[in-house]
Amino acid sequence: MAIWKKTALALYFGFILLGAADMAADSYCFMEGKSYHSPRWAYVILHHPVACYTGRYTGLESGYGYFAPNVRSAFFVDVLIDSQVYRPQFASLNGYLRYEAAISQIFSDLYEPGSSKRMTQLVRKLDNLKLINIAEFTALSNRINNATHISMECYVLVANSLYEYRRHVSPKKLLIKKINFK
Amino acid sequence: MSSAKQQLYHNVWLPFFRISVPLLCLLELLSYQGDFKIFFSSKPIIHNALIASAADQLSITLPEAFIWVKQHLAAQMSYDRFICWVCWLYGIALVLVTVGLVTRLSALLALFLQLMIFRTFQDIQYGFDFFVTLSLFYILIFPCGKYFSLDARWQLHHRIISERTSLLVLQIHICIMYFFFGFDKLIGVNWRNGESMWRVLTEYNLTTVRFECLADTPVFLISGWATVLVEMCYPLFMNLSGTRRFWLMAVLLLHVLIGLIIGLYFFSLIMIILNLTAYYYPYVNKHTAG
Repeated sequence: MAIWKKTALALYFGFILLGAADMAADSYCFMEGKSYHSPRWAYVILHHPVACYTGRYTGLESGYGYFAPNVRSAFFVDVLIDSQVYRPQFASLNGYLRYEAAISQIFSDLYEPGSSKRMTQLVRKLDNLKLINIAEFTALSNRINNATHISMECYVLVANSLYEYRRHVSPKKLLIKKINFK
Repeated sequence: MSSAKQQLYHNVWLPFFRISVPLLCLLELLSYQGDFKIFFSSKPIIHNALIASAADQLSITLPEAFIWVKQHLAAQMSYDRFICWVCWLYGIALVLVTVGLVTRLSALLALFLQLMIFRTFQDIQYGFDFFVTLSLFYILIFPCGKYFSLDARWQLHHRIISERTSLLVLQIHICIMYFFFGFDKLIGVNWRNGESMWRVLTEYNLTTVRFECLADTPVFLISGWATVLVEMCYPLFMNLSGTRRFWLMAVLLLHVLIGLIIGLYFFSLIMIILNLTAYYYPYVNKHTAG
C-alpha cells in the first residue's frame, strides 16, 4: 500500500478513536453532573472544519454511546384538551420512533442532571416552541380542530428501579413541564 | 474456476454490502406510510422555521435546497412537491446503487440526499441514520461496483482502494465501534448492576412479553454484563478464527433482540448487515472451501 494511503488511514482511524473517546468522556462527565472540557489539542482537532465535514459525511459525528452510559427513563407528553388526555397518533412504528427521538432530545435538556449548565435561554425558548408545536400536532392528529384551550404536560416516567420493584414501590410519574396556551 | 469467478468468490461481501444497504434504506423510506409528511412537509410536526434555526451549515438542508431550486430551476414548485421529488431521486439513487449502475456517483447522490432528508430535522435522527451515512460512504469508496453489477458488465468501474484494504478498513472501524459501544456502557454503573437492562426490558419493551417476573433472578445482571462483554471484546474475539463464529452469533442475537424487543428494527438490520459484511461473508467461503 502506498505511504500516503497508510497515512490517510492512520489519520482516519485516529480521528475515529479520538472522537469516540472524547464523546465517552463527555457523556461520563454529563452523567456525573460535571462539566467536561476536551483537552485543547483534541478540541482543536475535533472542531476543525475539515473534521466537522468529515464527521458529517462519513457518519462519524454521533459517537457510539447508544443506551449508555446509563439507560434513562422514558419521556412522554400528555396533551390535555378540554380536560381529556391525548397523545400524538402515528401510522407507523418508524414514525413513532422518530417522534420519540425528538421528544427525548428536547426533554433531556429539561430533565437530565447537568443539563441546566448546557442550556442557554435561547435553547430553552426553542424547546418550548417545539413542545407547543407537538401539542398542536397532537390536537390535529386526534382530529380536534375546535379546542379553545390546550394544556400540555410533559412527564418523565421514573419507572421503578430493580431494587424498588422488588420492594413493591409504586412507579413515579414526574411532571417536568407544563405549558398552557389558547 | 476462472480468475474472475475466484475473485467474486473471495469478495462476495462487496456485492452483499452494496445490495443490502440501499435495499434497507428503500424499505425504511417506504415504512413511514402516512407518517412521512409529519416530519417532512410544509407543515411538519415541528415548524420548518424552528427546524431551520437548529440546523448547522455542514450539510444542505431541505429548505435551503428548496430555496436554491426555486431561484434557479423551478420558481413555481411548492415545498411539498420538492420533497416528493427529492425522495424519488433518493429512491432512484438507491436502486442504481443496488443494481450497480454508475455505483460511485449513485452512492454519492444517495449519501448527499440521505443527509439532506434525514439530517435536516436533527431532533428526529437516531443511530440508524448515522450508520446509513457511514455505509453509503463506504459504498462510495470501496470497490463495490466491481462485482455482480452493471458497472462490471459494462466495464465502468474504477478502483480507488483494493478489496483487501477495504475489508481491513471496515473491520477496524467496526471493531472500534463495538469497543466503544461496550466501553460507554461500562462507565455507567447501571449496566454493571443490571439496572439498565431492567429498564430496557421493562420500559422500552414494545412487545407483549413481560420481564417483570424475572425481577428476583440474576437475569438482568447477567444479561447486562453479557452485553457489555460481547461488545467490548468484539475486536478480540471476532479476529480470532476459533471464536469468530460464536462471537458473531452472539452479536447477531443481540441485534435481533434489540430489533424485536425495543422495536429498533432498522437499526438492528443495518448492524446485522455491517457484521455479516465484515465478518461473515469474507470468511464463509474460506470455511466451505476448507
